[in-house]
Amino acid sequence: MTGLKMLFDAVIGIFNPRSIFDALWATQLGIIIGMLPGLTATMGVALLTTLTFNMAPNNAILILICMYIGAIYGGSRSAILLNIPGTPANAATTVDGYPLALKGEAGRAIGIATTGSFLGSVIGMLALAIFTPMIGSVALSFQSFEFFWFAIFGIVICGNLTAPKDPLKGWIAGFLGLFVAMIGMEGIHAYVRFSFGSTELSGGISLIPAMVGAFGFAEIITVMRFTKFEVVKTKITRVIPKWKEVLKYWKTIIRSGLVGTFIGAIPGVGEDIAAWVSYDLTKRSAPPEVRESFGKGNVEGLLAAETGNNACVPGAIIPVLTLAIPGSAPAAVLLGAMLIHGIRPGPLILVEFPTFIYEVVAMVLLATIAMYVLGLSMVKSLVKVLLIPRQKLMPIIFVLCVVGSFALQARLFDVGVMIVFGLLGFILREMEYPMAPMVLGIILGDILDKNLRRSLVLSNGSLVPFFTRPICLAIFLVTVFVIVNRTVWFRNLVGAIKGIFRRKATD
Amino acid sequence: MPKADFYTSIILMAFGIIVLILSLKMPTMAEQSKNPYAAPGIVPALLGIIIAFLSGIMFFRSIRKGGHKKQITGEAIKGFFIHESTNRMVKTILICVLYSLLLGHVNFVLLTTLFIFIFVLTFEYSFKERFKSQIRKVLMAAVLAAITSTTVYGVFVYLFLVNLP
Repeated sequence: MTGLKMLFDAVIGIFNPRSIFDALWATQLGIIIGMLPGLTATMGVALLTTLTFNMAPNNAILILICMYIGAIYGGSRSAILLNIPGTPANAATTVDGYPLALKGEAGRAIGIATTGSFLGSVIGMLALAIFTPMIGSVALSFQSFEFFWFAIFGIVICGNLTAPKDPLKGWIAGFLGLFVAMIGMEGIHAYVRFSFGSTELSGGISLIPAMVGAFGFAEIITVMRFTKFEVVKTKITRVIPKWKEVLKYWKTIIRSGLVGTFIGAIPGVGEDIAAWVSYDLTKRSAPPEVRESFGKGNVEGLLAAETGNNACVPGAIIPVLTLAIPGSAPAAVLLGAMLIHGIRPGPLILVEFPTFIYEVVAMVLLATIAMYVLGLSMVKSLVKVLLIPRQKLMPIIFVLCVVGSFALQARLFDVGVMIVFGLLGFILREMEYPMAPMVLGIILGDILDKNLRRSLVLSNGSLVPFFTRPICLAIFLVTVFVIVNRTVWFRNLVGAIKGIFRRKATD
Repeated sequence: MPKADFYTSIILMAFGIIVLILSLKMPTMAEQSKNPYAAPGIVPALLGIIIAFLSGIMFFRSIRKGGHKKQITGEAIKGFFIHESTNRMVKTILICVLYSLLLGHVNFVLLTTLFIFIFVLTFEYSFKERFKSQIRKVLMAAVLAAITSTTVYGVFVYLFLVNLP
């Protein structure tokens, strides 16, 4: 009951003029950033973190959550009108959203996408409110051994699911990220590692400038390479959706919402995967005669993709609050921002900041409402944003990347970090290495380092507790399964076993 | 891609081994009567081994795909550099990196104005056309550059109370 009361107080507390004003501008800015191809939610949240670090913690976190939710939703606009996902999260939206726009139903598609995003966000928010305290209380019993395995599991599952073709590259990116976190002074003996005499490197690589580089500068280079984008010439008529039309697909909405939230909660696996999995499940569960219409402007497909990606947002915040492990790349920045503001997420949050979880739920609620209201208004005028030429927009974004990186600690070294990570991020992406595991690695590096060494001290060098504690053993087995599952010999083995059973059945 | 993977795997293997060697050279802190199991080199050494191992797998895989045999032809390199997208990419990187290097040495507003002005014109101005026909583009770029740099300066210094380089 205390939980419900805290939630009630948080919701009452958030609806004040200042918060509503902040939510409106931040969500609108998020929608615009999400709409513009090349500007991602991660970049938006990272840039706003640098701008809001002087604000009171709760205002700043509210603004960042609004930016996050706004951007993930905003990307659907360009997915529908340009056939280019505004953020990677909206790639699945293009499949059915763009054909609808080509049929002259852009307004209807935008309305459905907005409603789907709203409902997805609501489902995710409910999961956030219910599961965060539950997972948090379980996490209180975790020790260093468990946290070590969580860090390894996070990198393995994230690398496995986010690498476009080869999970090996995802894992390499993840372990490189973990290495980046090793640079600078370590947390137990204050010994300076890999700084080669540089005083600036001895402070370590800050997450935010690295993220601004990898998701800002790298994107700017990628966007500037492209040839022109073309907006569909279509009249946007009625945007407000018919609720009957949407609620007809209630099963799809609930399924996509739950799947999206669950995928969000997996470390480092973000909105793009959530949208694709929701879309795929919906397509598979459709009757064969309907299945053919997917990819040709199927409303259900569009709804599934948009519900899935927005449900992922609150889902990604669950592990941030309970374990200090981000569920997605933007959530990683959000975690960084919370630390900057003196909030320490993790198992102790239930003890140290018990009301904060519910305040975050209230913030998600406010952001979701703001997204729905703004998403259905000013549609026609906002489309003009898509017409701004890249060569005019990108230098301004780059100036913000530079200033944002510099602003946090007022040192030019961070601008250098941003540039290096931008170039590195660009090259890695060209070579088909995903960025999400690397980012997760930078965050998890410290957790891995401290917890492995602490565990070894506790066990006096013995590795036995790493495999005998029940939760450790479970995470270890799942991790091994994730790796082995991707090997050729395992698949051959499964194929052979299936073959034997099939033969037996026919005999 | 197998060719690129072949080379990157070699670089990454070398990187992993260097990390391992540097980690092993780190003090164990045992001489300060601290627990050797909390030595600072343990985790980086483990990471070095894993990175070298994973890139080793990639190395053998790229060899199996014939990555080591494929030759980089002069024409392929030429084609890459002549391609318009490469041209645009190089220009973007050069202008942005130069701007960041000059930060702190030149007045922020002046440098930012110049950066945006040059960036916009690099992609909009055509030397094949006459200057007179492009005056509008130049003026627009100048106005955009001036407005952006002063706005960013004003917002950051007076609203967000941040010092600028």
